[in-house]
Amino acid sequence: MNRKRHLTRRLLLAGCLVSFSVTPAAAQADYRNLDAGRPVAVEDAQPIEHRAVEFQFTVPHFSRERSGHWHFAFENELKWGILPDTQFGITTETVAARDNNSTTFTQRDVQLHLLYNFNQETPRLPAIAIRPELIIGAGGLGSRHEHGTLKLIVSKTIHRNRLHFNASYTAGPTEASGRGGELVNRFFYGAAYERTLPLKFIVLVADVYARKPIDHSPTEVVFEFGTRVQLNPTWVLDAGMSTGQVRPSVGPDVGFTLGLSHTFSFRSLFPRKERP
Amino acid sequence: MRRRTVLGILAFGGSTLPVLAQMERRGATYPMVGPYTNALRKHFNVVYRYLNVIDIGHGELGEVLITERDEARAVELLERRAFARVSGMFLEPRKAPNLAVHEETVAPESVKVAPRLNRAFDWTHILHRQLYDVLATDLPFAQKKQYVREAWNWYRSEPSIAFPGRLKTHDLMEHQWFSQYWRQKYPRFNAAIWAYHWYQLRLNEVMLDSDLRRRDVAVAATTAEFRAMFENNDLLPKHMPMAHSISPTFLTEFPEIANAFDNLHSFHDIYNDILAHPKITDKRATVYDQLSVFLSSQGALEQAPMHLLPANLSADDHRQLNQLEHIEHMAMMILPVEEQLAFFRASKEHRGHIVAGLRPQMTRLWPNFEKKHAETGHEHH
Repeated sequence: MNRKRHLTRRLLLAGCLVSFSVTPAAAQADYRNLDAGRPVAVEDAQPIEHRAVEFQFTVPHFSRERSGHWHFAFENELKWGILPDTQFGITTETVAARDNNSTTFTQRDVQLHLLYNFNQETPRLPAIAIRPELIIGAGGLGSRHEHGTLKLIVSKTIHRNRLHFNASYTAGPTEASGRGGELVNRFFYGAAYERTLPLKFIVLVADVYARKPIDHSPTEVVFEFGTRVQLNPTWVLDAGMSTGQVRPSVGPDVGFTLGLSHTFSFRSLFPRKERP
Repeated sequence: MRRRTVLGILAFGGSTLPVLAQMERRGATYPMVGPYTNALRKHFNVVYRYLNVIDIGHGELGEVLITERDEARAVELLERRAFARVSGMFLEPRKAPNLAVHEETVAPESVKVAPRLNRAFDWTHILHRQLYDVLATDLPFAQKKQYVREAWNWYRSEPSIAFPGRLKTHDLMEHQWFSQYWRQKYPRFNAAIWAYHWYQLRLNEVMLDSDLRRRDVAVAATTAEFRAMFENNDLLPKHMPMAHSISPTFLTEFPEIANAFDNLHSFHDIYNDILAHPKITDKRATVYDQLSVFLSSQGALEQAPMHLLPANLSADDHRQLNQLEHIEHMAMMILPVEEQLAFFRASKEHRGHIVAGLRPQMTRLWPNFEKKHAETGHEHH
């Protein structure tokens, strides 16, 4: 377990260092490319560009379930457009959890994913993607077992509005109470609405989703809203708020998140035969 | 029951086939990176901002033509409102975006019409931006040339979306049954589009100067002239500018790239005609028919001699050149250099006589010239 944790930490630290040191690219990060949790859980069907690399920096994701019971999650993600229309990503989650006057600081699960987009959207056909995920349990509050998830993603653009639908199911054992984080749900389904302000390089987004935690606790229904803003050609800032008061007996009563994404690439990722 | 279910599944499957047949890959690719990356934004920020506005202009054009069914309303939206909006950004560069605009955000509906064409446009715009970045650096000239060739090789590695390095015939742009419809209905915004193309080609030319001080002065002068076109709309070009007349050094140095850009600009005209023409109902099929001809490096190639004008024309010469009607510009494609110089400096009446004398040659070069001419009349050129 420790070896896994150290390996993923090293990978993400390397990603962080690299993203600061490489030459920025002429292409831009895409502020409209919604990623799960940045800032809302529902994502779009668009992977990052082929040969692009994106690093999402440690960001706080705060959620309070009731007074005196809260957690801060710090998610890091490294994504790479490994093939046309295909991205690979690795996500880790470290949490500071407060419950009954004690605070635990630990890692919680590692997620590997592929996101494959089948098609360019047309007037009749929405963009469709699938996202297989492998969740590796890690840390004191993480899963004890490995889990596999398959998510279906559909995105439809109507002028400057976009709609996204996500649904996923996870196979694998049910975890003990309190184990497994937000990276693994028995099922998840949700819808998001997004509005683009193209010349301000901003999107406004809101979603509502239901998730059944992998520890078999009651299904949560969460409403979120947020924004993504292009800061410069390679940096995107996102921020959002959430509440589980749609179904007040379960889930968080309030939460917020703040994130930064950096997109870059390397010359070495481009085929040598094309270079002088 | 089971039979009904099977029939239902078959019917559903059958009904989805036409939709599935439309499926095209998105295939977004990150531009090649190098020591030149983002140099244009850093060293020539106004130019960078202007290029972003140019992208907005192209995007808005397509979006209005696709989403607005009422032609009179579309004319109003483009000729007045969109023209005023882009003009405002050219006259006050601080209003122009300091980030590149994703076409999907300004033209969300029109990019769905013919995705492969949009990929071809995007791919060629990436090449163009990469070239500007390379030429905007202070790297040694030999190294710049190496990076430009690298960019071209990279561009050609995607032949299904790359415009060829051999010039396609002007007959395709000018003399098809739907040709020139766009420019007749939307003359003002079309002139703005041609101004964009003039600016891009002139930047290719002046940024190639190995003397960096001279380069910077020339870029500033070119940018000022472009801006002047939006202060005084009489200065906007009256024909589609091409490399052989306004970026001859670039054409000599990188003939394939210059031809690819000329092809791109010609196809913009064709695309605009297809989008604007009310009798073309299946826009996607027509665009793809045209695109398959245009992206092929074989066949339908330009046969006109297209002698290069000197690189040292004055600013006044360039203004005079821009005022040539498109048919006059086509006449110049046939003439030797000395006669071209005399031609564009001559009176309009005298030029008319020369064009009339060249018509037999133009008919031989462009087989559909006479037919189109008979349909539309001289004034439409």
